[in-house]
Formats: sequence, C-alpha cells, structure tokens
Amino acid sequence: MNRLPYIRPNIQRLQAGPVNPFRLGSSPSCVEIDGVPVAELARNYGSPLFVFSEKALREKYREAHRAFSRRYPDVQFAWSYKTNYLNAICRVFHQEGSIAEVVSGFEYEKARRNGVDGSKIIFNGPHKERADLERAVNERAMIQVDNIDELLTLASIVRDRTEPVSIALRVHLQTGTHTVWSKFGFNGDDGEVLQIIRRITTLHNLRLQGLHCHVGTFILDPENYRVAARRLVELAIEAEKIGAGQIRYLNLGGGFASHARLHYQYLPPEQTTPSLDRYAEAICETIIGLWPAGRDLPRLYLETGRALVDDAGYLISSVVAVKKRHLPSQMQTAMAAYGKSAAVMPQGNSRHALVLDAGINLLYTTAWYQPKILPARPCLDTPEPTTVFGCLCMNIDVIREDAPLPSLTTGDQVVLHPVGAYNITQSMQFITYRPAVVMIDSERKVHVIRRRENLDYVQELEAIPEHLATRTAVSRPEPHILAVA
Amino acid sequence: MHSPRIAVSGLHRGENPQPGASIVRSLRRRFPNAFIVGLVYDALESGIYAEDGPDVVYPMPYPTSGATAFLQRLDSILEKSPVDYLIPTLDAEIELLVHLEEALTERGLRTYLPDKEMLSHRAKNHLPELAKTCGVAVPDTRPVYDIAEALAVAAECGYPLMVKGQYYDAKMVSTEQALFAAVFKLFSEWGAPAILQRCVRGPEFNALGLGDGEGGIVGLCTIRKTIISNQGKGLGGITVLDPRLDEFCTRLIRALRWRGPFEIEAMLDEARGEYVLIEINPRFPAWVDFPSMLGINFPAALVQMMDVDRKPAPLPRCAPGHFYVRHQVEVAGHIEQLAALSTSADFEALDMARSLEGAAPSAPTPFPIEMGDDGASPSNGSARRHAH
Amino acid sequence: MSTPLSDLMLNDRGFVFDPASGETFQLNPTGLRIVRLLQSGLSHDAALTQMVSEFEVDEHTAQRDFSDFLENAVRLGWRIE
Repeated sequence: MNRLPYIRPNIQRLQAGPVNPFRLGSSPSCVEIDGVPVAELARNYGSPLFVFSEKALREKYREAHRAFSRRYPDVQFAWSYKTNYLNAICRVFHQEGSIAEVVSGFEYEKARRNGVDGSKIIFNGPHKERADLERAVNERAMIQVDNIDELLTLASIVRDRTEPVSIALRVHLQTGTHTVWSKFGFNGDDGEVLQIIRRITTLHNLRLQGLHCHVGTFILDPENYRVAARRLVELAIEAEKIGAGQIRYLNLGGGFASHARLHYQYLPPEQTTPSLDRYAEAICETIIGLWPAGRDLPRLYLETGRALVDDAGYLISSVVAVKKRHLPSQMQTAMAAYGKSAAVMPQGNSRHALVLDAGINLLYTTAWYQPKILPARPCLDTPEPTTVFGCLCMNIDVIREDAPLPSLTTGDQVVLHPVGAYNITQSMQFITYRPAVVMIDSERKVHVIRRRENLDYVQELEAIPEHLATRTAVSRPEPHILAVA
Repeated sequence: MHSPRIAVSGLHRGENPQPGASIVRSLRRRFPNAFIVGLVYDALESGIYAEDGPDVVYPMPYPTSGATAFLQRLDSILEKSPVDYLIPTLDAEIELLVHLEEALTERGLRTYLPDKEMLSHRAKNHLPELAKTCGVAVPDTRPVYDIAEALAVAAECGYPLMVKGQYYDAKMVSTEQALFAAVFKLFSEWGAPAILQRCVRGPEFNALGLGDGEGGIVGLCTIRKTIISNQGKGLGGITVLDPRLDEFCTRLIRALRWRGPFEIEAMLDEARGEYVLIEINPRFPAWVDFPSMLGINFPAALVQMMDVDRKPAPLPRCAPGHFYVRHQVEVAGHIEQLAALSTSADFEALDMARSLEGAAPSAPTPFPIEMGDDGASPSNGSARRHAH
Repeated sequence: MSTPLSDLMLNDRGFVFDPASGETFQLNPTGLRIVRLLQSGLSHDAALTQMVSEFEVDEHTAQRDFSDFLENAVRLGWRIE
C-alpha cells in the first residue's frame, strides 16, 4: 500500500475567532526562482543562500525609468549604493544607465572601482571626511551638502581654486510623513535653507546648482512627494531671487516602497505599495506645473534603492528544528504583527515554531518588515501562525512572530522574500559565516557574486599579541571527560 | 430579478453587530426567492443560524491574507454556488475589494463599490483633510504609528480620547495605561495607524445612504441615536429631518463623489453648536433593515444599482418620528453545522491523495457518527440550508 | 478534570466535541488518525509504528510530532492513557 502524504498532527480548540479553517488562505510555495529549483540552488551553493534575479533587477529599473522618462524630459537615476553595494548588483544598474549615489568615502571608492566617473557620482550623507570632499571636488562629483560644517570645509577647500565648484543643498521638509527626517540637511520650512543659500552667495568659488530632499523611507503615499517637489520648486525660485543663480537640478532622493510588508501592515503589499507610475506622476506633474515658464526644466535625479532591488532578492534557508512556543495569554496580542488572524492562538497558549539556519544578523530589515516565508515545496495543509526563529544564540533572534505556514519539518527549505534591500549591506558576521550570494542571469545561469565566508576571511584582520602567541597551559580535564573515563 | 443570487458578508448580530444579517433580511423582504450566499469569517457568526439567514455559508480568508487567497477561495465557492451580486459589509474587506474590481467583473460578479481614491479620502486618518475641503467640522483626529506618537497626542489633547482601529473598533480611554493597551491591541488586530480622536460631547446622529458615484445621493435616512451601549453602539434610534444635517451629508458625499452604501457618523457638538464629523463608513450600518421596515429598502435599491442598465428612482425620505430598538434573540445551532464549517481543508487534500491511489475518498458523514440515542438531535433552523 | 479519549465524540472529518466540557476541537487528518489508533486500544509505540507505515514520514519526525501532539492533547484537557 502506498503511504499517504504526511502533515504534522494537529488539534485546535475551536473558540470564537478561529473557527474558520480558511482564515489564512492556502499555503503558497516558492519551488523555483527564475526557473532554477530552490532545492538545486541549496544543494549547489549551500544553505542559507542569498539569491538575486538579474532579470527582476533590470525589469524593475526599466519600469522605473519608463515611469519617469515618459513624464519628464530630463531624468537621471543614481544607484543608491548603501541599499546593496555588491559589485555585481551595482554594475547591473550602471549598465542600465544609472550613475552612483554614495554616502561615504568607502562607497565613493567602490563606485570609482566600478568604473563610475567622479562627475557621475552623487555624494550624499551627513559625514564626509575632508579628504573625501577634496577628492570629490577634484573629480567634480555632485556634492549634496548636509550641514554648515561641511559647507565651511568645502569653502576652505575651494578657496584657492581657479574655477568655481558646483554643489547642492540637502533640505528636509514637512511633506505629511509622520516623522520629518530632520537629521539630514537644512530646514526648508523655516527659512534656514534660504539663509544658507544667502551665505553661499558670499562664499568664494561655490555655486549652488541643485536642491535635494529625501522625504523618508518606504513612503506609501505618493502625495508626500508632491509636497516635496512643490517645496523644492518654490525654494529654487527663491534661491534665484536672492542671487544664487538658476537651479540646474532637483534631486528627489528615494524612499519609494518595495513589496515588503511593514509590521502592523494589515493589507499585503500587492494592495498597499503604490506603482512607480504614481510616484512619477506626483513628482513630474508638480515640477512641470510649477517651474517658471520659459525656463529650462531642471534635471531630475532619483536615488531610489529599495524599490529597485528589494523584490529581486531572496534568501533560501532550511528548517533545522521544529518547536512549540508557549506564550502567556497577556502576551498574545502583543506578539502578533500580521493582522487579526495572528492574534488567535488555536493551540491553547502555544504556537508552532521553527528554527531556521539563518538569523536576524542576515535579516536586519526584519526589525521593520515581515518577509514572506514560503515553503520550497508545495504544501497542501492549511497555514497556521508560526513563529520563525533564527539560528543565533540570542532570544531576540525572531525572524517573524507569526508567519502563516503549513507544517514543515527539519530539512525543509523555505524562501524568504523580498530581502534584496539593505540586508546584505547591513548584515553582520556573528557566530558563523555569512552565506554565499548568487545571481541568476537572464539565461538562468547561476553566478556566485559573493562566496560564503570562511575562517581565514573572518580572521584576516586579526592580530595576536606576542605574549598570546604560545598556547596556554592545558588545564585539568573537564568533568564530561572524567565521566566517560 | 425574481431570484437573484447574492453573496453577503458580515453576518454576526451579537454585541458588536455587523450589517450582513440586516442586509439579508432586507433582501428577503424584496426578493423572497433570492438565493443568499453567506461569506463568513467565523463559524460562530450568529446570522448563519438565523431563521431568515443565508441559504448556504462559506468561510473566507481574512482580508489580511491578500487578494490571491481571497480570489482562490471565491473561485472554489462560485464553482459550487454561482453568485450574481456581491455585497461586502466589512471595512477591511472593502479595502481589499476596491483593488479587485476587474477580477470580480471577470467572474461575473456585480458590485457597487467606491474606488480606491474615494475610499482613501474618507479613511479615518484623512478625515481632517476631507472635512476641510467640504467645510464641515471635525474633532481633532490624528493617526499614530507608534506608542510614543500616541502619548504625544494624548499629552496635547488630554483625556478622555477615542482610540480607533483603521478599519474597525473604537474605545474611549482615560488613562495612559488604557491608551497603551488599546493602541497595541488595535495595531495587532487592524494594523497601523491607529487613530486618536478628541472626544466630543453631545448627541449622536447617523446617516445611512447610497451615493451614485457622481456626487449625488440616491437615498438618505438620518437618525438620532437614542440608546447607546457601553461600547458606543447604537441600540436604538429615531428618524430625524434636519436640513443642517442633510446639508452636512450632501457636502461630504458630493466632495467624495461617493459610490455605494455609506454611513456617516456625526455628533452635534454642544460646545460649538454645530454638527461635527466622527467618521464615514464605506458600507451600510447594522440598522439598515430599520428603514426597510418602513418601506425604504436600501439593500434592494443597491441590488438594482448593480444592474448597469437600471438606475433606481431616488428613494423617499423616512419621515421623522419612527424609531427602532435593538432586540437581541438567541438562535439555535447544532455542532453538526459547526463541524461542517470548521472542517479543515486538509481533509480535501488527503481525499485527493487517496483518490489518486484508487481508493474511495471519505465523504463527509453526518456528525456525530458515534453519538448514542440519548445524544442531542440536530435542530437545523432550515432544511434548505447547508454549510460548507 | 480531563476527558478520556473514549468519551470524545468525533466525526470522520476530525471535528471533536467533548460532551463533558462542551468544548469543540478540530483535528487534522493525521491527528485524527492518531486519536483513532489510540481509541482502538493500541499502545503509544504501536500507534507510532502504525503511523510511520501509513504515512510518508520518517521515524524521527513522526516521533517528535507524536509526542508533541499528545502533549498538546493533554494540555487541552484530554486524558491520554
């Protein structure tokens, strides 16, 4: 007799609320990525494994570029290095036509080594070393000045030069987001920016050419960009009035949402993430509508990162242990982040739990977002709220409090998605090696774009003082050795 | 139109009543031969077991599970029970469905819903902008995305405060501790933001109506709430006719160009001496069957409006002076019905595996197969009714 | 207070009613099979062996899930002999 498909045996207490076997829908799976089976990827390159789809990267870039260029005559995208600066990823965007947007000397150097000319680098960020600024000035990078100290440093760098250097100012604005990113740049609402612009007109060799505003991150309402674009145009007109000359470019930064799902986001991203067309419409219509007639439209720069790379990135991971998690009842609602369904605890006071071979050290963005966790094989049984733990030896290593998952067992692979933005650049090496990263090209060929770490790599920068060079005296045997003896 | 097939959701009529059961009653008044499909989110929704309840009932995935899950389930339901009209009644559900107009039309389902923009303009966190555009007053209303923001708003506005979920639920809080608890509960059930609203003193008014999508109102019924439960629900109301309240509603619906059913909640602010907007719900209220009893049947008019070629004549106004009092009754069910609604889809999967092997699938047998003679006998409200 | 398995009323779709406590439960197909096996008087070990022979599952997984299932049943108020 053939054996029947197995699912983990389960009892649910039926109480008002969960008496609905369909409440979490069915169990979607992710068996392959761009036509390459997940099992094959894990077998060939190990688990966990970051996987990027080159096709998705290029398609998304083209979608974004199309959305803006069909509405605005002069658009330039700049790849936001911090979002993901694996060289292969950066080069895909550079090939597509992106220049680079960097926020440190390190990223600047990386962009140069990727073949980006200094004049095609937007240099952003609140901390730029004097040496980095000198290089940027010499290589005619687009410096976006963040603060008065930086402005004065620049002034001292350019004082004795023969020709003026063009700069832009970063501003922060009230655009209707619930927090204003006032850490960055100058206040565009209370007149501070105009004071700074007046000051620039008095400084030798500095020419204001651009205005930059990055309203925030994961902005779900395109109207915020409409406000930002309007205010930037108004500031540009003011700047010219006070003698700064014509503003040549507006940099609207990034912040467009990907298809990630925030904690406490009730509807899934398919319904909540605005299309790139809606952002483009808000920005382009506003600038075109308000820019003084008869004047050349300014060039529009965009530094969108997350929206271009997030959805193209996956993390394959494997189930290493199956657990139950006991939660006291008063903690139950506090432990739900997925919406109404998850507040329900049909297992009494416990919840299914899994341990994966990847941890939050690789998934920093899980602090804000809930990646989808999809089994790498089709599952027929209905999903249950499941806590997904990472492999770190730390209690805070919870990848998702309550992912809807069918019953999985050790050895099963899962695919986390989307994880292409920030996770690689913000990952940290902790207690084990960071995984390999592969990219699947448009011919379904798999390329390793970063090897798995090893002990030599991790220890490469370490040094051992001489007095620690010899081994310490062997202490007495440990009790477990005695016990065996 | 003699026997339209209509799907209705939200059938609970307990302490926090949903509109679905009232809608079903109204529909049955006008279309006695209608085939009503109940879409439920919990097997214990009371309307499932009511005498005049739906003909057939199906559990649905929560809207938070997304469009794919919702449409997959809908397809399997339509295969068994074809439907011509869909009347969603839960805010979170409507929030999902406005994205699916095309998918629903493809399936031959007629709806009469607002579009995304209309829905968003009336969302609780956008009330102040809406009120400003149409010149109506609104109490201080602020979305909060975390507890720190909530505490800051409370410090500014003071207590008591109303704390509301973006789609459902509201609670008045008077202390920091209660605010903390309420905000967390709403976040986990309905997502962020939660909405804080300054409390207003004065009588409450509700307006029920249908917008034609061009700024006009097809029908309007205004009531003053006369009995209010501890949870703020109207347990009784009396029809009123105040030109100022009508003007208030007209302005809002005109500005929104609202399409479909609505409920406007307003209060007569004692301090200001004018109506203030509390919220606008994108659906009928739970008392929608009350005007039907007076001969003004909003759900039936809605079904007519879903027929593209038929635009109904404007509904007459309810004369002032009629009142309703909510009358709660028990409905009886049997665990057999509960069993049918709670059976896990896993059994269907196993049947599929068995049939692949050539073995006969285990057909659902009546519950309880092992119940002795002294067991309770099933007491279905209606023989024609089935649960799936 | 716990209810012996023999007193639980269940149908072949895994719906369970505890007539003593008035509580209702839902078993999935594998859970139902375990309860049936135990109701028929099989020992835990024999029931586990039977599960492994009937379902596509390795012994390690079956054993872990089996004891987890019984523990859960006890916590929910069922008496497992």
